[in-house]
Amino acid sequence: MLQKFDEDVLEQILSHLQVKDLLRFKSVSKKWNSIISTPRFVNLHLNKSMSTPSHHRIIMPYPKSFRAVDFHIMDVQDHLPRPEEAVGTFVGSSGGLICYLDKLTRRICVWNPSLRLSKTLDLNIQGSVSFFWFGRESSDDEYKVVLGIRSVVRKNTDPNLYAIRRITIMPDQDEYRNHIYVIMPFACVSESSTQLEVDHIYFSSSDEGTLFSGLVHWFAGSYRIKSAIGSIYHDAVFTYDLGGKTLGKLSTPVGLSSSTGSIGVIDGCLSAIYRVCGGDCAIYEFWMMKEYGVKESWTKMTSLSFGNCDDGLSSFSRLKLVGATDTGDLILCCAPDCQLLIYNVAEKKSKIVLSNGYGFARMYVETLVFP
Amino acid sequence: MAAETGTPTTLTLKSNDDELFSVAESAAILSVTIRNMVEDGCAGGVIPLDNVDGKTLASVITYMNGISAIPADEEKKKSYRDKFLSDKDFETLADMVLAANYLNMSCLMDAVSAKIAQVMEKKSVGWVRRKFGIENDYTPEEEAAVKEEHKWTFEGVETDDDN
Repeated sequence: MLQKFDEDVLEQILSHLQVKDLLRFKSVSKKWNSIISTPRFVNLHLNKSMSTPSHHRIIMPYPKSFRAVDFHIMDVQDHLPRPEEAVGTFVGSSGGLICYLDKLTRRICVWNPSLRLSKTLDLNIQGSVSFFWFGRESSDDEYKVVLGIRSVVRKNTDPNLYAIRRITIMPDQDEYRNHIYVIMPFACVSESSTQLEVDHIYFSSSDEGTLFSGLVHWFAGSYRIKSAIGSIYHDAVFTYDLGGKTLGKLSTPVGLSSSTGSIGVIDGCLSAIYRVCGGDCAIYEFWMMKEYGVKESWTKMTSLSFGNCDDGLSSFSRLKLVGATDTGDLILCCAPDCQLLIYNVAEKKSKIVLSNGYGFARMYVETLVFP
Repeated sequence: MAAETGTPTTLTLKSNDDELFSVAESAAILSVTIRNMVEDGCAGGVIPLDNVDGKTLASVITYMNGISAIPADEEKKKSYRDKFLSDKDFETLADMVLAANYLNMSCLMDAVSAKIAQVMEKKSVGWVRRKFGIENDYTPEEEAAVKEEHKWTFEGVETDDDN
């Protein structure tokens, strides 16, 4: 007979298991069931999952299911049934939960693919959702949805007015904490206590925001109307500070259009991938903002070309960063073909892992957190 | 207590079945429990480790010596840990995790926990009960209800007759 494991030791062991095994082992005994169910253990397990690369998965949407790709063997490991409510726009994947926004029914769905459970929330919003983000933020470990809602009632000459709405997802509870609307016309946004010289802002990209050091980042175009010489248009990255609840603006590399770009985080730096040439042979440039907030620190790291010059791959219209492997290879996904690629930066070689998906691939981790 | 430079200090550890082991202090203090005793100055004679048997302690000391011989290179340390644990059976791993916990050796604890979890993957509920010596305290109705709630997790589980 084994020595009795005390609860601490048992928790340590169980925290390394995957969700499917843990749910099954709830049947071992009442004590095991209660250990696996405590918020303390759920949190311990999530932290272990997030810090263990072998617990990370890549999830690729298909019409009826999602394919989960094992991070290490880079092969399809599981077919996850897609909940009926998980439709529409992808809002984010963070801390093991995935969020979708159905713009037609104005509902969001929060889904835990490891538990195979989801729940939905009616938004009761007016206007259209222009930019969005979902994530678990380390400052308070809460899951939040940030929605930028564009006011519909306006004249053509009016600036676009956006309201930011924060929703905190309360795991294990039926209630959602609904933060009050923060109406914030971008025209009044201040940057270092001076007003941004911006009259109109357009969020053209359908990308979810990217969290970096407590701020959510989106690409947007803006222009300032100058009465005499017309208007000056430029691309920018708009930010929302989750802590201070303030808005801000960052410059982008000169001469590149954000309409073909996407934002990500590479090697601990805010990064952007741009398509610089279309046609038969698409070329993508990878840029990094080496020093956060410093425009001059935008540095071109590498470029990647696809097209008929390269093993019969079609020219992709957009390329998005999904993540990075622990050996430093970049995991990328392209549209519209929805191919999942591994890109070795040093050797400039890419390999296709999955094809013909129905949307961009994303990362997620295994967790017991109830959506 | 300050070790004099050039003369490696040796500690004597005693298992709960009265086996004595000599180990270099520099390797032994990987255990926070032992390090605290050394720093408190109560490691002058024999250090009794009441929760660890001789067989397990011998193995832990092999690990202490092996890992402390590796310079600060986390990759190499990890591969040493993997190799060290690769041929250990479940019972040995179970003794090891309890020893690592008692001796407060977080890296070994984490590695052994991960290894045990790896062994538990896809295993049946019956297998876990046998290996962990757990008595099923569910009534048949309760057990059926818990299993029904997580029915899909019983797909692809290894058959119950393996050891």
